Amino acid sequence: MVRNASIRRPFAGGLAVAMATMLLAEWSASAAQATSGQAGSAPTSAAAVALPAGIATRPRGDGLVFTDARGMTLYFYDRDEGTPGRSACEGPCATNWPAVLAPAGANPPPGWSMVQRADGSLQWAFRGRPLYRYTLDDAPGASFGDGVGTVWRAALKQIPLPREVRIRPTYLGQVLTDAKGLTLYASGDDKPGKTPGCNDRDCLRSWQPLAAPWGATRQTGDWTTVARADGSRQWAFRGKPLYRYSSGDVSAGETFGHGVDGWQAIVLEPAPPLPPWATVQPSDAGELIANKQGITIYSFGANARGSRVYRGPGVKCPDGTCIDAQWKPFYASPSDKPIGSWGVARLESGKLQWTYKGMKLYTNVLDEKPGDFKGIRFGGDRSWSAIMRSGEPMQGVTVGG
Amino acid sequence: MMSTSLFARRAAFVSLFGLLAIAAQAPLHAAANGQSMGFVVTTWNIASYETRFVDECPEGLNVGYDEYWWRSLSKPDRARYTDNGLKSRLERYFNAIRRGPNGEDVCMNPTVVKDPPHRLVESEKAYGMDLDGKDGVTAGRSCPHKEFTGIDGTKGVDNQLYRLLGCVYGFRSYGQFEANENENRKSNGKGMTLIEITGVDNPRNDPEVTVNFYRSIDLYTLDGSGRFLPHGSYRIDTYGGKPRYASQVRGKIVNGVLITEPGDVNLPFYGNYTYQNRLFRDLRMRMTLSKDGDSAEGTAAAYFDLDELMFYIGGLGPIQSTAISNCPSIYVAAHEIADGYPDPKTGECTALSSAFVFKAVSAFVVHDGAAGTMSAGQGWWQRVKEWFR
Repeated sequence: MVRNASIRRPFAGGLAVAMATMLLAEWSASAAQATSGQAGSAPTSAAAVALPAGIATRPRGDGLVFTDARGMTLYFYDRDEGTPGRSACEGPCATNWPAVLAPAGANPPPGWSMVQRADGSLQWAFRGRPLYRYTLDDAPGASFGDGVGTVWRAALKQIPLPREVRIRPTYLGQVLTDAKGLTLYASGDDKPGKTPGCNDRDCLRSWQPLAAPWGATRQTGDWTTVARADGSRQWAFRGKPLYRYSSGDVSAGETFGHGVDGWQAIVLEPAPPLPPWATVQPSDAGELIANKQGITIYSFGANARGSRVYRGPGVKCPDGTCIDAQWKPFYASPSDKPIGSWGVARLESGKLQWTYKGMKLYTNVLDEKPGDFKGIRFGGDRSWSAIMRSGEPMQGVTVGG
Repeated sequence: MMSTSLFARRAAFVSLFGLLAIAAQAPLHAAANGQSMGFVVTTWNIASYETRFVDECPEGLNVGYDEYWWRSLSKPDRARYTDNGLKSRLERYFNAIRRGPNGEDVCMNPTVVKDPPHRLVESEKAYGMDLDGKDGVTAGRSCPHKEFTGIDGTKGVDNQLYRLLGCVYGFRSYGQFEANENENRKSNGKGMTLIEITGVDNPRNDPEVTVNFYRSIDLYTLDGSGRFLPHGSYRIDTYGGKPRYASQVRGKIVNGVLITEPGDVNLPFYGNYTYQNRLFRDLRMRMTLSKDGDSAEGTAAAYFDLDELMFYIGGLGPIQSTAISNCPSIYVAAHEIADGYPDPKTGECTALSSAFVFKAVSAFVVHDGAAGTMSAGQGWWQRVKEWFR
């Protein structure tokens, strides 16, 4: 018995130490993560980031977007992560995505560096990631390149987030989600500084509190934790306790709880406005932007991505863009006004054509009813994208394309 | 000695407990009382009758588009277009598919080249059902076509989809088209069909039931080995409060086999990176329900729209390299053997008779788009209320 006890005690003690270490590590990690961004936790404060000459920031709901001195959005390229210390966008790629060059002898502030390009020039990089401009951005404030090819991102210093939280695009805009992508909500009835009101069984059946880890009690910028009636702690954003909508949201990006009984998704950056002709149509792939008749519209990004063009019979080359006859230009009238990411381009023929993020818009003759999107298919030309309600492009898939 | 009032209270408590216990059992009876059974389709394949020595294709399987392109090249061109023979079939897809006289993609424009005839199935036997009846052609429901004999000896079986694709490597049971479709659906949850049988009084024999088809927006419930688990909850794809896919046919259950009457059914589809909303006209089903109610499998026969089929095949792109398929010859043959829904103006048939085999596992079909609304607590209270009615 004694021997057994003597064996158990060190084990139990070791377990306790291990648990304490784990909990401390959990607390430290959580607090550190939330605290680490505290210097820049005021997303509207450009002074929070040291900047080289010629680079500025623009506040956005989800962080600070880097811009050049004119206010034009700068971008990161995901494929650069595979080529540390140099740019993966050279040659034709650089035509559409010119590098943000640093002057010789520049002195990088903390967090900044320069990478050498193939031609010997120096390119600014933030935290090792080279910066680019996008040629289709037509005005300061435009960020048409954000999301192109799912590899280009607006260069953003994101607001600090707890480990349990992410940001995700939805049709509402950029929203807070949990680590699995489930949208986070706040109740209109919850008041900052008060105990969360959703405590009874009926409420908790639909709204699941976003639990904060043990020890994450520090006030860090927008993020705080609140004590629940049962003693557990819950994350709160700007004083509002956060919940998932467990009665409705099952998959990442769903927002079924938005507007239910005074509950609202936490929208950091609202989705850009739609033009007056736009309708939203359900489809198997999600909600698509369509014209007034409900027919899906597509953007043609050959210019942006340098994709191939079709050269068969029946091919027309209106206004310098050689495309298959199945695509019909989506014309604008002289009274139409650009709005948000939606613009109007004047063609060589004098006609006006709607654009989205600088790319011309078309309909496809194969689409006969609302929700059809036959312009997008496997083996098709990836230059064409349908536009999701979230603003994201939906492209076909082509091996080697 | 126990007082009368205490005894009464305890008796009342025991009675109430007993009532609740009975109420908790009530669903077992209710399930067989005008209730519903739900299933989620797990695999869906063309019903392809295949013999060991491929006797159904006496001239062998078809030649792929890559082979036709390769044959058309001179030796120097073969070296030029394939990095001196080092490029794989998949990598040379862009050159091979654009073998039209002006560089057209021959899958998007199947009539710009004239390829050798497509090899059709020449077997006498096939899976399927008699879709057009004995007088289909004379009654104007069909176009002249050869009919099969069913595996069970049934005469007049129509299955022109099998006749068209049965000798294409990629569409046979071991081909990657079908495998990809089922695997895509399993991994990403797109194109999942829910079957809900309502008005069921007896799950083994019921002369009149209604069969509803919906699209699910949830992923399959799988076990740790990736096998489909029965009794998962699946939400219906709804928009504006209405199901986006909602077809309905009448049927009956005979000795555990669901047999439906012909009806037009829209089914969601996703496979090989292509979405489709497939309209199966005159669809009829025979679905065998397992005795434990956990699973089902069956056969469906219907007319398959020719344009939908060609849209799908035309978009299969580079997969056709390894599947050894050729769009232009399939396109010509499909129009020649189409046997359903004659165009009133031209008289040409616009659909192919077809047959499919499928498997399903039982599922809770969630109607209001909100999983969790059928929680155990709510169900329990509902049962108590129903019991007292």
